[in-house]
Amino acid sequence: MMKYLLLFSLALLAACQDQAASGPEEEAGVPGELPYQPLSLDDLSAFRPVAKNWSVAGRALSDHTREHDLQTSEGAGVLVNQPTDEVRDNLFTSWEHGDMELQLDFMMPKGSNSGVYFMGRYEIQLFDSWQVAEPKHSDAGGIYQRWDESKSEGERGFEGHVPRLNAAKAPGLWQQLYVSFRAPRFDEAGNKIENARFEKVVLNGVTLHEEVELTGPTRAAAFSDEVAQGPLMIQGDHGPVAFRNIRYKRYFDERLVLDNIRYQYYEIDGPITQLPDFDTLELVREGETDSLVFEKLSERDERVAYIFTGTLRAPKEGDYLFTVYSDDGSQLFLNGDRIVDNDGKHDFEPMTGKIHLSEGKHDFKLTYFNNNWGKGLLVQYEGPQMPWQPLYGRLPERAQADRPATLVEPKEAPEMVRSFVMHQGEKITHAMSVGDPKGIHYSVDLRRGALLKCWRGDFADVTEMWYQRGQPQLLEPLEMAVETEDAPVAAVLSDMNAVFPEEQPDYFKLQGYDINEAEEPVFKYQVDAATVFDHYQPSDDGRELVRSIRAENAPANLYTRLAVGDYVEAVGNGYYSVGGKYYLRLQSPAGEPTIRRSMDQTELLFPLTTSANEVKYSILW
Amino acid sequence: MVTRYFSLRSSVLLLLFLCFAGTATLLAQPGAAAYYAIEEVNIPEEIVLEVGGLAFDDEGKLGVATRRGEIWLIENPYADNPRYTRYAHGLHEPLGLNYRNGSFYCAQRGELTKLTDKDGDGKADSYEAIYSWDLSGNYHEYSYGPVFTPEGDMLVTLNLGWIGRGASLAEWRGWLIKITEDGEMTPIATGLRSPAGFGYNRAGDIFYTENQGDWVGSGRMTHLEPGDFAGNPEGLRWTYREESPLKIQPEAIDDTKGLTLYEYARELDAVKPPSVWFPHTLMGISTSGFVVLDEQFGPEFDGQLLVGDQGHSKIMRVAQEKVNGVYQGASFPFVDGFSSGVLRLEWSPDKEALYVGMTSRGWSSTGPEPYALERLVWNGKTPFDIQSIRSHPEGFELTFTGAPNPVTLADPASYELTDFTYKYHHFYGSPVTDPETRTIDKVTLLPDGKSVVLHLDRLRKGYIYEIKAPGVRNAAGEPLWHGFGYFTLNEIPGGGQMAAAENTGAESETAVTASAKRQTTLPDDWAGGPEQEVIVNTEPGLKYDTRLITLKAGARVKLTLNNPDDMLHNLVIVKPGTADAVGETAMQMGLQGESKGYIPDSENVLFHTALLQPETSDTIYFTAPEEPGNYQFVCTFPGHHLVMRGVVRVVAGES
Repeated sequence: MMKYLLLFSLALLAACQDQAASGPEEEAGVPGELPYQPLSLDDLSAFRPVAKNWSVAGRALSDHTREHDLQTSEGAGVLVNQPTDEVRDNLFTSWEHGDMELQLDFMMPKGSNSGVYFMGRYEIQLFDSWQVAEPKHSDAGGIYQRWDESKSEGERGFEGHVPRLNAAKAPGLWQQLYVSFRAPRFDEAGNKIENARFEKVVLNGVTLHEEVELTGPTRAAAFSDEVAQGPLMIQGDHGPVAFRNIRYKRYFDERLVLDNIRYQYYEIDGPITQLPDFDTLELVREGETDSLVFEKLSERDERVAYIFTGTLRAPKEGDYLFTVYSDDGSQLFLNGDRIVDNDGKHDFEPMTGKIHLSEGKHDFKLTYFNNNWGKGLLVQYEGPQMPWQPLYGRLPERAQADRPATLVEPKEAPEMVRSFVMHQGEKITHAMSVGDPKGIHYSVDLRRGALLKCWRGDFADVTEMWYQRGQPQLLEPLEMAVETEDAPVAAVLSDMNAVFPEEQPDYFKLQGYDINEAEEPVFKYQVDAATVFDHYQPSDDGRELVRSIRAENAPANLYTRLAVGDYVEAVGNGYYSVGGKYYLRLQSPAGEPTIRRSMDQTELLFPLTTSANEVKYSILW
Repeated sequence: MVTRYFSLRSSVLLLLFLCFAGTATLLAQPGAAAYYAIEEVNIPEEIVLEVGGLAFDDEGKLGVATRRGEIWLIENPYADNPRYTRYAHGLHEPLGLNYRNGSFYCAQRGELTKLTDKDGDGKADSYEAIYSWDLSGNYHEYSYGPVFTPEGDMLVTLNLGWIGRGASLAEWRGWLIKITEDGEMTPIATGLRSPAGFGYNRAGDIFYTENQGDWVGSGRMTHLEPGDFAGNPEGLRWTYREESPLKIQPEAIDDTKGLTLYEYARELDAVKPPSVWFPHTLMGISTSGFVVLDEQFGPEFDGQLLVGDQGHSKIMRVAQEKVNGVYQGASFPFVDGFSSGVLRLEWSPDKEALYVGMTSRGWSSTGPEPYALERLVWNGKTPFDIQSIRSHPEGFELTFTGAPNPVTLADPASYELTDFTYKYHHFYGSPVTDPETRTIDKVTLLPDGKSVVLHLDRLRKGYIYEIKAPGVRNAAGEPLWHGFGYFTLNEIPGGGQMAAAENTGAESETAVTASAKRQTTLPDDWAGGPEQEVIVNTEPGLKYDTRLITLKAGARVKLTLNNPDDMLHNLVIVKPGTADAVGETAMQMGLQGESKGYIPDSENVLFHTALLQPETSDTIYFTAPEEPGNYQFVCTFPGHHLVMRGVVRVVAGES
């Protein structure tokens, strides 16, 4: 929706500036967006009555090597489809939607197929596309094609949209889908005046589509016409699939209206660094206006201040979030209360405030000043069933330089890159990423010997490191990367109740790394009295990341934690599913692993006691 | 990769300029090549050799650490096609390199690393983390070094982060620290802001170079001893730690007192004022690495220092002395015209050639290339110039090279002296403050025939002396090669009765230029406002975001210049074909240049903005010329006019 477009362009703006504007700043406790509506999966009551291929379970697992394998256990929270030849209905929500944002997790067994049809008409394809080199519209995250039966063979399918890259995970893992959808628009006579649109489709953190228009329903839609509202449909006749964490926001055409907008215009002598005391200033001019665009209200843009007032009409009661972007400072008041304080001399940056508004009229006041140069004022809001949108105002115009992309491609030997790397929203400052010509790549936190993420395919985009001054110095994987739970590679546990540390313990230090014959780094860590050797390499078939850990001079009770998650469950063929995020397989287990519960999570631990004990395992995603 | 088209164009401009500059200018004369040659070291097309560090190994191979994290070994760097081997890679922007006992050492952003090729295949197979320090993740946290101490330990300096101002966001940033081979760290001194160059002089004392910025009025070189505070208060936030050798807190530094850094040192023991200042734009704009000269460039310069400048792509020369136990000395111009921003200097093993490592990514330099590696060699002929300047109880003692003509030497009219200082405040840089012209009461000729004592009317301790000798000639009647230097006077031999003068202490922001050619308010008689509005932005790399402004003849124009860059810029509209002449005149404005916004008094100048600090803007109003034609707009900040310019096309209005 609008908010993401805005954040995207702001990210570009921020990237062009030398000052670090790292993203929206929030007043303490104010969320970045209003909460999603969860779809209850305690039972099937959120859906229209449907045949028995659909049910609700407590947990789903799958053996990724077996076709259509889906294992469920009793309980609630997971939506399961297990069709047979006779029983294979599609599933429809009991409610209808127009514009909406949807998030869900899905688990796709090997060789299976499903899809999410918005308004029962426009499909985002769900498919087992694991390791497909050249994805098609019919692969995971694709926008399925339309179909014209009347055309000749080979020309019937049209307007399918291929996902930007293959972001699909291995079968049997939970995958994350986000879709922002905009319904078609009709005039009063019922004629369509605007096509339906997928504004954004994101699979496992990778944006696959943006602003894609649909001229009509896609193939196998439940309806052939186009309307303003329709039910959400999940395809059930193509194969087993499971869903969880389904949540959504539906939007209607209501919006806030700002009426009777008046402005007061002031000029300041000398530089100013915060909003002035308006009582001490002489009013230069005032009048009526039709928006919060101030540039045309005076010739002068520097050392100026404005007060905008008006009547804000809320169509319904509920929580509203207001974000004010301004360069320089601003404050927003509703009914006399200050709800956003974005004062100070700064670049075009946002602050957000939240307020519960009743239906009806409210007093609106917005103060603003600009010291010099950069200027801009924009108020955005999100309300109940109202998506992020501007409340009159304009982005400042800045030319945005085009950056040449700089990529790292390992050709004959592994390539190492030390850099900053993001992990679960935080910047890791002492990270190394290693790209292998076989196409298996990973990033580690050198301070803890922790595996941060791994990915398959092309290696890395380092444009932000090596263009101009290198802000923010991040290495970005070129493919969908799965983030692992990071923890020090080894730690001393006094007993089986001791908590495995997340942070770098005092006795833990990077010694360095040696380069082996294959030109791979072998990391060495000082862990208490021990030296721990940690080495990664691609599996022979190039599908898995293999990790080998061993220790010398190990003290008693030195452990390595191979995995941690909501659960660590064997799913067949020697693989464990680690909380459904990735698979782990022990390759040369040095004894039996210990699986224990700690801090509400399940961990898989191994002792590192003698140098002959190499703990070797692989990760598949 | 090197952008060939840009280098060609700028080389042509540089060449034209060099030919054009017949008489003495502040940049190198064409005569530079008569004494020193800059030889290019060939770099293969595919290697992005943004030099962060230079070090020779014990086999004569030149190790180059690059900002992209690689270490290249260059065999036969003096050959036409030297051989490059990638020794190491994957490092996080190393900005220094050293070598001993078979291993290379470099400071990466977050770690001091030792690299060794154990199996002898030409590539490092052991990367040891000797010591790791915290980072906040700010892009500006550069780390430099190591320099080996005589005891075998390693010195590293840590740059401040940047959040719209310099800030110490992680432990010990803004400090000089010492690390043993075993990884024990000791903090030594602080007050550092951008300490890209540091090392030992001949006497074994540590110096570091600093760049103009917040709290730093101009580039400078400071002698550092344990417990010293060199000026920027950010690093003081770590003095509460037990290991800190000094205990003053950030709040102890109060710039509302209006003291210079030199005066502050009289009040607070820990403060160490600079030993040599490099006045901004007159002696470079971003001082970087330095080396000690022995006799390889002539016995006259033995013991002096050669200091690089990143922004002006040049090397300067420093002659130091110690008076009353305190370092001071003079900075002189030396050789310019390097291809990119000079960062690292390293002598060849035979000490005959000086390797110059360069990069300009992120910080524009007058040298047009994004990176370069060159070699400076001497042809054996010593230029006729000021050899050194020393403090004297009654003024200064100057020694010249070659055979000066004694008549010109002894004539007070041959010399010009001005002294001035800089403010010490949290603003970015400082204008030249409290300048005074000094009178030479008499000149004493010394028996060696090449030295004089200039006896002055007054000496102000803590001030910087611009000393020019435009009237001195040699036996052949030739003038001095450069003929000027800047002496930082911290101590006067014998104590000196002249106390430091009071300075004004008033705050100032941009040097605002009041001038008839700069109208900053909407003229009253412009009913209906301006007819044309133009917005121009500066861009990194000495550019404006447009090369063409089109105006209607006689139109009422409102022009805004925005300067988001980190350097000073202006915009001057000049008569057709005069951008070069105006730019050069601006370069010759010397000490008063900045306070005049580098706007020369010339009828070729039609309209101009103020000289803009980083991240500020200026709006001017003017009426476009009546006569159509291709006028020009140009930045007259010294050195910029060669490339930072465009055309103002004035077209006839409708009749």
